[in-house]
This record gives sequence, structure tokens and C-alpha cells, in this order.
Amino acid sequence: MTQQNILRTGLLRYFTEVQLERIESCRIGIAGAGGLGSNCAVNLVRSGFRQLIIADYDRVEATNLNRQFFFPDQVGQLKVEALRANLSKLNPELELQTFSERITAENARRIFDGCQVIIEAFDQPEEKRMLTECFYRSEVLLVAASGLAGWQDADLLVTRRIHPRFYVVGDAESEVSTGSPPCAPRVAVAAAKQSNLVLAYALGEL
Amino acid sequence: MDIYFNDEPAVVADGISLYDFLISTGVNPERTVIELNDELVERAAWKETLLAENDRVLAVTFVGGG
Repeated sequence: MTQQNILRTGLLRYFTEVQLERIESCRIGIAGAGGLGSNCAVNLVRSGFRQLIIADYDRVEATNLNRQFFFPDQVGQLKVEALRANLSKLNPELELQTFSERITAENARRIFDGCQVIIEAFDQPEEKRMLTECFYRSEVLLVAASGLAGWQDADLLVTRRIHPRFYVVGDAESEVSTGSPPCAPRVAVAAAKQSNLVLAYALGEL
Repeated sequence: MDIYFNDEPAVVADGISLYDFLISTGVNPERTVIELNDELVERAAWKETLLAENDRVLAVTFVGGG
């Protein structure tokens, strides 16, 4: 670790070296780089995580900018490449692997090989279900999200522990639809709660 | 017979399949993960899985958005 890593220097104000090394040694998979995934990624990088595997086949669109960690000049880029650029500004020493292919039941274990934690950050409920089934019986900590559309009371977004290795964040009801769009505040709350679980896990307190 | 569905008591027909029970509750199979007595049940096995007295069925249904 070089002395030029300003983020790390700052993090040592808040974490002990031992704590930060625990965070840095944890490999996190993020399935989807949209509203949940891009915001989880930046939360985790700010928290000191260095080893990330991020998978998404999509490209940045104008309609993503209301809630996703991208900028107007990145419209048209692959989300994983735009995210790499943005996260690397915070920490140039990331060990970031990206995959720009669709995640399926067949390739999910290969893509996220070696991850201790997987964040489910998909948009479609069928994909959320697929990823959950893939990692349900594994040793991986799976942190999913469901129910975050609109602008109802954000305190309705809760962290539900289904079993010791499977958590679901959200209100379980608010589906994205006409009149109930995905908006920055609730999406960010859900992503922050997912990220917080990961941080607690890495620090041995989950 | 008596079972538990999402931690609530429920009364179902003897020998009902997991699939028929879930359809009766209105869950969307494509969006739902099912745990039976703390074990995941693959969707392919829902029809052949018969419920028994005091079984605990947990359904986690996902909604869209992310």
C-alpha cells in the first residue's frame, strides 16, 4: 500500500490497522451495477473495501442518472467500465474485476468465485430469485434487496434476516411501476443498508 | 392439518403439495424463493414435495427495482 493512497490515510482516522486490513481482505461480489449496485460499490470503497467483483451487461442511460453513481458524460458507456473509472478516483489501488455479461444460474458461481459476500443488486424480481437460489445453500453471505420504489417513508425499508447467511433489505412491497419510480433517496437507503451489513460482517459483528 | 406459513399458523388439506399450497396463497412462483423447515426447496421440486403436519414454509417474494 503506497503512501499516495489518500483514502486509506483518511480511513485510518476511523479504523484501526487491524480493522482496515479485515475490510481490505474481504472479497465482495456485486450482481448488478444499477441503483443498488453502483451505490453499494461506492459505499464499500469509501469504507475501505478493495476487492470487488462487479457484473452488469448494461450501459449507462440518461434515465439512470437520477439514482445511479454515474455522470452525464458516461452515458453510453458500459456501467462496469464507468463504475471502474469513478471508483478508481476514490481508491486507485482497487482490485476490481468486472464482467459485462448477463449473470445466469450457470455462470454466477464462476463469476463470483472466491467472494465471501454477494450483494444482489438486480432490477428484475426473477433475477433476484435466480441469484438467491444460486447461493442459498453456500457459505457466502447473500445480501438482497426488495421493495424500494417511490417516496414513501424511508423508515419502512428494513433489514430482514431470513437466516444467518441471507438478508433482504427493503419494504418487500414497493415495486417499480408507473407512478412509483425508483428515486435516489430510497434506492440509496436500501444500498446503504446492504453496504452496512457487509461492513458489519467484515468487522466480525454480524 | 396444521402448518406454519411465514411464521403464522395455517390449516391446509392433508397431503397437499407445496406447489398447490403456494398457488393457493397467491405467491408468484417466478419471483419467490421457498424454504421448507429451514431448507431451500428448488422450484422444480415444489410439485412433488408434499407438506406434512407442523411443516414450516417460508416464502421470500421479490419485487422489481434496483
